Formats: sequence, structure tokens, C-alpha cells
Amino acid sequence: MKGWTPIAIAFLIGVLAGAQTPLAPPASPDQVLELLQALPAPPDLKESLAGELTAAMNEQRLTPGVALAFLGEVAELSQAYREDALGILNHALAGGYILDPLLNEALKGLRLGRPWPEVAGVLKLRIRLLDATQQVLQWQGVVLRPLGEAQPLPQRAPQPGPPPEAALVLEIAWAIGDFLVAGGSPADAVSMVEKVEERLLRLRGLLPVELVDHLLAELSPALVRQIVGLALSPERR
Amino acid sequence: MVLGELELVQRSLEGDLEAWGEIVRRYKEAVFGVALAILRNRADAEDATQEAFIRAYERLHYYDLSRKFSTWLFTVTANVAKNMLRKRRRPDPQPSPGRIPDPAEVVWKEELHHAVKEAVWSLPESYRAPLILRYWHEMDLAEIARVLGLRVGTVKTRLHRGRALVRLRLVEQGVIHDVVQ
Amino acid sequence: MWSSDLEERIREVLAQEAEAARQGLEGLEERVMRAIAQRVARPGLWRRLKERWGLGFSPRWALAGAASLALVLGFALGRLFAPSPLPPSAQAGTLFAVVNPQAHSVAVMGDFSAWEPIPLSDPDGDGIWTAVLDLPPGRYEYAFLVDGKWVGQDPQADEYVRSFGEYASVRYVGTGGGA
Repeated sequence: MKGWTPIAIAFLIGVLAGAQTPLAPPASPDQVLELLQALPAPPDLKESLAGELTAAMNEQRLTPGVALAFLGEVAELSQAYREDALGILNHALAGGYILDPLLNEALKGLRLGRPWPEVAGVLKLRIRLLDATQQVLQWQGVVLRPLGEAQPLPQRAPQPGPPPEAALVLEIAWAIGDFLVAGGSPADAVSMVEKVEERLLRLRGLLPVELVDHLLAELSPALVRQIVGLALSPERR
Repeated sequence: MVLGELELVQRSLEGDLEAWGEIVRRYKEAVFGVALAILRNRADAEDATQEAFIRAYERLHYYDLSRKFSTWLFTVTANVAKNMLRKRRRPDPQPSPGRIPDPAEVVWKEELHHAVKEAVWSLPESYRAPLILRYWHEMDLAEIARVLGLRVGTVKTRLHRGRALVRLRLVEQGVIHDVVQ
Repeated sequence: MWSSDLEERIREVLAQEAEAARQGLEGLEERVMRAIAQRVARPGLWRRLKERWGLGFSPRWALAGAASLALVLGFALGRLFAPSPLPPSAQAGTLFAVVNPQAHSVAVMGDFSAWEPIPLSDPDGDGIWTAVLDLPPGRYEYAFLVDGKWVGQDPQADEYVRSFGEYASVRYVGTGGGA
């Protein structure tokens, strides 16, 4: 029986490994572009989006599966809402941000059955926060140049990943946005600092440690007030 | 599984090529339909059909006799067609719907038929394939999911959206006028 | 146009395609058999090696081979209980669990699935629904659907967020950091 033990263990390992629920097969960039072309929308908007989407997927700022799911939802909107959604997407892509959380936010809202104007309102706030965060971090010297100018358009060789600053901008803007979207007061800078700090500490193992530590040292209610003030200022809307 | 089919598969496993030829005869149109759903081009689909039957014969010892044979065969076909799609160097050929004839000369039903055909074949592959498996092969959602390697929920969503895109296309072309979603 | 009309039109169009395809497929059986016969006539390298040197392995190699085979067979058996498609790896996954003996269907959806529901299973009917997902390190928002109803707060979550008037749960996977 001795010889059967390793065989039995191997069998059990195989069963447990095989019993994992797999995620869906990844979509390809070609599928995303193909669906974009099939959408009824102004040709110049689709052309701009095709270039921006290609760049974002090449730089791994956007997962094709998420993009495909978003465009699939957009296809079901009325014409006016569809063009609004594609316009928002185009604007966000041009900023050079990591896009998955933004599109996932939209998918969550649509999955909850929220009307497009409500979803769009949240997306626009998120984008304003991304813009403001990037700008303030530039002033602080954390981000050296606007993310959207990192590489020339439209043809880019595949990069190993998005620029590390992009992840930092995303997490800070997202933490602030989570607070505001949940109904938090834009004046409560102290609470927002806590949220940002908590987020950065939880993700410190994944984000560039030097950048995180530098940001944590600079983090203050004044910094957060700058970001929020810039994001919510009337000129930006 | 029909007993005759099981016997044919077992004989094929024993090297009986004539038995496999009978399998090909019975399934060639259905397999072609699966290939065409993915490749959209008749010549490529014919090549993929031939290759799928050869590949399936070579891998027949992997087929579980207790499972539905057609699903296994269609899965092999889908994989062959997807590989061919990835390797295709020339741009994905557009279907040739022909000019929509002057409505004054043609019965509306024929115009609608042309428009629906063009709309179906211009769908993106991720929406076109489930639609064709559903309406050509009358496959149920679970089988489509197995053949294409998708979750059942995803198949349901893509069928719904595929139909919506076809309808939108028909509205765009002025063939129908409502946009009931 | 009503849905049923559109479906009927699609069926008609595809039936016509099927009819048109028949001519191009004439003689396919002979072509396939001929191609297979040509490949069979040239046996592969493995068969030629076996014929030359014959079968036979040392007991140690036989045990290693059997263990490998058991691993593969076990993996295949595990796959029988999991939905398609094929899994990407055999690393430890992230467990999602819901305890609800009254539920008829439970799914999880979130950032890892573009908010498409992934079914949880309760194979032994004890009301404990589970799924193990292979998630790369990162932060994931998610919620459950229990009999189609949104359930946003998972007791196993690291934190909760609230948007669109509903809660969602958050897990940090493989980040190593703590707050």
C-alpha cells in the first residue's frame, strides 16, 4: 500500500486544483474594436475611440474583457445616452489613466438598474477627481508629467504595464471618490485623508513603495482640499 | 446518443475510416455552420470544416463516450475556427449584402430578408457565433456555452445584445422604424 | 418589429445559408478520409521509437508516471464539478462563500468578472454556497446575487463601499499590506 500514498495525494491535489471556478476566457483587443465598429455612433467619435482604446489596451491600462462588457452595455442605450457614454469614455482614455475601475463602476451601476444619467454623473465626478489628483500630484512633484502625454499616439509598442504613477493617481482619486459618492461631505478633509491613507497602506505591497511613502509623508487635509476643490470647481464642469 | 452513432465512433476508434466517413456525412453541414458562425467566410469555413473532422478523428481517444458527441465535435470545430481567425492575415472579409434594391420595385419582405442577412453577418464574432448556434443549430444555452467556452449567463447576454444590434442596424437602414429594446 | 418576428427572420436567413452551403460540402467525406489516410501512412516519431526499443520502464519511473497520471485524472475530475472554460492555473484561490439554506441560486459578481454573475455551487445541499476564484493580487469590489437579489455586504469582506444607493464588498487579495 505504501506505493499508493503519493498517487492518492497527487490525485487529491488534482481534484482540488481542478475544482476552482475559472474566470471567463480573456477577450481580445480585436473583439473590442470589432464591437466598437458595430455600434451606431458618429464615425469620428468611433475613430478617436479606436485609437485611444488600442493604446490603453497595449499599455495595460484597460483590460479588453472589461472594455467589451462596457461597450456591450453601451450598445443597449438610447442613441443620445450611447453617444454620451462613448464621449465620457473618450475623455477618460485621453487622460492616460488606468480605466478598469471606471468602467467597472459603470457596469456596477447598470447592473443595479440605475438609469444612465445617474451612472454618467458618478463617472464624471470620478474623472474630475482623477484629473484633479493628477494635477495636484504634479504640483507636488510626485507625478512628473501628465499621464496622457506619457507616449505618442496612436501606434505604441506593448509596454510591460501602466506607469507606476498612474496606479497612485487612481487609488488616491478612488478613495476620495468612494467617500464623496457614499454621501460624505466635500468639506470633511480629515475623513478623506484617513480613507486615502488606509487605501495606500493596504495596497503598499502592490504600489511602488517609494512613491507611496513619499505621498504618505505629503498627505494632509490641505492636499486633499486642493484635490477636491479643483475637482468640484465650476470651471471643470 | 443514437446507438448507430456510438457504434460508428467505436469503429472509428478501432481505425475504421469508413465509419468516420459516415460521421462526416451526418455532421458536415452542422460543423460547417459552426465554422461559418466564427469565420464568416464560406471558403475559410469549408477549410475549417475539413480540418475539424481530421482533428476530431486524431483526438477521438480523448472523447468521453458518456457525453453528447455533437457538443464535443462542435467544440473541436470552434477551436479550429478560432485558431484560423487569429492567424488570418487579410482583414476580416465583410459580408457582401449587395445593394438594397429600390423599395418601389421589390416586395418589402425580400428587402427585409437582405437587410437581416447583412445585419447578422456584420455582427462582431463574439455576438455572431452564439446567435448562429442558437438559430441555425437550435442549440440550447448550456450547449452554446460549452462549445464556445463561455458561461451560460454570458451566452444569454450576448444573444440578447446580438438581437438588439441586428434590430439597431435595421433601424439605421430604415428597413424598420421602431426601436423597441 | 416584435422579438418573435426578428427571430423568425434570422432563422430564415440562416436556413438559406445552410441550403447554399450544401453544394460546397459535396465530397467532403472522401477528402477527409483521404487526408487522414495520408497521415496514418506516416506513423509519428513516438510509434517508431516504441517499435524499435519496445515498452518497459523501471518501477521508480512507473510510480512517478502513475502519480503524474493520477494528478491529471484528479484535475479532470475536479473540472467535472466546475463550469467551463478551462482554468488558468492551480494556485490557491480566493474563496467566496454564502450561507443560505433557502436560496435556489447564488452568484458573485464584481470587478474580476466585469460585473457578470459567476455561479456559486452547493453540491451537497447543506446551504453553504461556494466558489474559489483565481484572482491576481489587487483590490476587488463585489456583491452577491441571491435568488436574483443584490446582497452587498459579505461578512468576509475587508471593507464596504456604498454607491448607487447600495453597498458592495471589497477584498484585498495578495497585497500583503494591512491598515
